[in-house]
Amino acid sequence: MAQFVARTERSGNIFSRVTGLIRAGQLSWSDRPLWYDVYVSSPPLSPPDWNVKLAKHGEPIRPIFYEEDVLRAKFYKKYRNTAAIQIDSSKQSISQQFLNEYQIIKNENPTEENKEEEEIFEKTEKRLQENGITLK
Amino acid sequence: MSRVILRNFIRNFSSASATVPRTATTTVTQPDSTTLQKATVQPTVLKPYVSKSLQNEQDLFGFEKAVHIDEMFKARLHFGHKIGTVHENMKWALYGERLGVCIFDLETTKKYLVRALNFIAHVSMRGGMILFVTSNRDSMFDVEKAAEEVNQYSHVRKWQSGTLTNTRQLLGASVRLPDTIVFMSTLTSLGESHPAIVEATKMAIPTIGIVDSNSDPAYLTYLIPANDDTPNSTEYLLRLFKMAVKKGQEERKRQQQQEPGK
Repeated sequence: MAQFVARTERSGNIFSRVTGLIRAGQLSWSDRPLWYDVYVSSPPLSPPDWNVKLAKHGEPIRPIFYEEDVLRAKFYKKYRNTAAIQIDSSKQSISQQFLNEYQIIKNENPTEENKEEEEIFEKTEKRLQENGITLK
Repeated sequence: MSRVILRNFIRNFSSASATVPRTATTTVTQPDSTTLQKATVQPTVLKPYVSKSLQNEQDLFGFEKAVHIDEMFKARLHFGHKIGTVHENMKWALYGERLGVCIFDLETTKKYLVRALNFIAHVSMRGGMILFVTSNRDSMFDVEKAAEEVNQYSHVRKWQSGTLTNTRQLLGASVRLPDTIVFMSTLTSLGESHPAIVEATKMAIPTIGIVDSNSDPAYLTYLIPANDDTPNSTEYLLRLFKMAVKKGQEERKRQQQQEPGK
């Protein structure tokens, strides 16, 4: 088959070129390529053409941010040397423990919603140190 | 030409040569030209005419269950390159950008990966020859080894132009070309698309490509948007590809035992 197929890779994708050969009678249906049936039953999810614009072409990429990013940044600004994280470890990192504690303290005093963030930050520091976690 | 072992016999290309029983062709006639015309736009209209093994089960080899998103995450498949290098045609696969690094949407990746694995397994079940190609020096030995383990082929060295399109000049004989080419990385060290992609498309060979956020998906048939640089991710993907090839080979063996005459 390979000797018949047009080597013009831009004229169409491989499927339409082979189907064209079958339509034109150059290739008999029983001589179709081995992959043809598989392609028919599960065609590619995106068009296999060379000149298509796929979805989101030219659009800006969405930035990924989390709520705790600001607090985490603040934490690491103050405690640089506590920063080492072992990614494979199942243990929570100190910054994560700090964030959890911060959330707990914030929820403890729901009435004082306008409480200064600084104050909660300091309280969290204190409580972590009470629990034997040294912050450097 | 280093690692492609090109078998010395005339192209055994047609699906008629596959040992898989083809009962469908005996009962259903071949499609007429109107159906074929429709098929160029919507390939699935030909489904009633193709082999029986593809009629019922969508996921014959169970890849939907074999691919887990948390494993993909652990293998670091979600990491792309810096946003400055992103290819416009790869933005569809991104979940977003975290501090300047592209992050793939693993849900999308899984969908595409399962489809590609299914394709490999079915080709392997039909006795197809699969060629693994990479130009990434970090993973070349892994790719070679993986291909050898499943009795398939690999090409991980410099691609001599014409390896697929000009075989008679280069090898002096008619050779069988691969039935599917799997690109473990689609870029060369210069950041250009691998020359084999266009050659495969010229010869109407379906291609499966791991496309990173800086790769150009043009000409590739089946895409797998994922990290192609990290050893962990290459290892993971190779493991899945090996599994797919093996499952196809086992199914082929099983079918041959059932119908030894064919």
